[in-house]
Amino acid sequence: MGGLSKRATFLQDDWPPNLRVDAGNLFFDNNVIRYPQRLPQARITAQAIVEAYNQMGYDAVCVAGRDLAGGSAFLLELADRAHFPLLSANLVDNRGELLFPASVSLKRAGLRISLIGLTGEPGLGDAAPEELAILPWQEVLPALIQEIKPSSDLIILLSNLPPQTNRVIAEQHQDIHLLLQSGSTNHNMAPLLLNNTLISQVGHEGKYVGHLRLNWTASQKWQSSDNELLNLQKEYDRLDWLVSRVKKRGGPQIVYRDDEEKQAAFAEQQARHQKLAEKIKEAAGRSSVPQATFSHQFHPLQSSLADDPRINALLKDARQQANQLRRTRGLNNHLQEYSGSSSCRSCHEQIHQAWARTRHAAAYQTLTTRDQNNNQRCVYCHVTGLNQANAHLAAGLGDTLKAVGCEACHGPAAQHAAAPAEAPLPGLPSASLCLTCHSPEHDDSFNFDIDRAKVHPTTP
Amino acid sequence: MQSPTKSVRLPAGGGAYAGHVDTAPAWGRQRQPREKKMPVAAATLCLFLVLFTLSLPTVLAAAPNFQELALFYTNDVGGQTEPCG
Repeated sequence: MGGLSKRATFLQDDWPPNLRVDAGNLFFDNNVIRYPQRLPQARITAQAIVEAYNQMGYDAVCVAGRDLAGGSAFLLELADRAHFPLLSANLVDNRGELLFPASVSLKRAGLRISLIGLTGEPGLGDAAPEELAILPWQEVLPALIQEIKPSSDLIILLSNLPPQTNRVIAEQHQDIHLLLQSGSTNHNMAPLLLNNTLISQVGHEGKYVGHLRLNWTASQKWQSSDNELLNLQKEYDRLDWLVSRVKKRGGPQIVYRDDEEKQAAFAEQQARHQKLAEKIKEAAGRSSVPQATFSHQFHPLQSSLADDPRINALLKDARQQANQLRRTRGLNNHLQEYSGSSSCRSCHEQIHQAWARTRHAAAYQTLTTRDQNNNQRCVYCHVTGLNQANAHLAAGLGDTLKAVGCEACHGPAAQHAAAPAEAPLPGLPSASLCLTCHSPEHDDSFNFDIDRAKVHPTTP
Repeated sequence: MQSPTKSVRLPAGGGAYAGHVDTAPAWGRQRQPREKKMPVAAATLCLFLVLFTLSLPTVLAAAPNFQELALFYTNDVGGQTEPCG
């Protein structure tokens, strides 16, 4: 799920006037900070991301702490390539000057919108690069809000600060109407209204797109401060998603064909959806000064969504460039402890044959068909003997290790293969080992007790 | 406002007209030309209309005319351009 080419397809729909923003941590993952050997490949990817965001028409991106992993010079180079501003109101160089614009103002849907960026710490205990400093938000934000307030109908803060800090900001500054955060959680966070600030965040790795439909008014106040209305709105959003999904797929007669009970249930949901819309409208009309309302959805970028050919082409180009960097040969001692699954075959013929029919045996192949076999973010889960730290050694793997083989679960077996009786294998793997790769993000239906049998289909 | 051409009978005890005493002589009341006051009122009205018309574009421009805005947002993409396999 996810991916830039699917996001581009999604954003091409016939949307009303809209704004496209990213709250940061766009270019690098935590592993680039942990394992700097991944940086050259990650830089190529970052350049491709900027080009993809240009094509998707993004309006602004916040500079987050993790975006500094490639160094300030590289980030400035990315900013030059971008058709959108990279924002940070608190990232300064050693002369105390801002590296990027603090805010940007633009007009959309008749609204004068101001966007502000705030950078947080890079994380993992690392400080910002030496030549940079991240100023406390209290030093910059209040004055900036006063400056932009007279010329803004709607103020949006893109914040990479911790969630507790964002809550303090929301409590102290009711002129910030929307706060979109990054770096706080891996999961989607539905909009939360605090004071007069709506706070939200999308889960990581670009699997979803957050979508807010705003009916902003001159009052510059959110209406949904009472819980009852907020609950109505939440129920409406859920049904709205369901109804539009069924309609998109051809209507209830097609989606629920041969199931009258589900068709009847859908008709009820559709009626409730319409009733809720009227209720919300009525509640909005009761106020003497019309107040702002919103509705919200997280759109999953499912694999069934078509890929955008332009974005696909530029990602392919980036992969090819990254492949030029992959010539990191020279296996380390760690990999010499592995013998490869073929050496297990002579003694464990039946087990090997059964394994050869599993998806583990074809795990590397799934990467090569997608030209992802040199992607250091992916490859260590599709081969034997690599992990996050040494994924850059993938190019040096022998063919017999290019699969999730015996030693991926049972541990390195070169000594065992040489002298089976003298060097027994440690035994069966634990669930925690499997979860290294079968994590909820990558395999949300993984069940250790059930799925381990799939690795040895002929064995009990 | 009372018409200057009509005499008014005060209600007993004053009522709503208490405090108002019409001292103008009858001939004077009859000779007061209605046409002289009307142009002033009409001119005021015209002036008001002209000023209102002139200021209309400014008033309209100042009034917020917001449409529905769709906001698409992402975060923490972390260099993930596409799924692994």
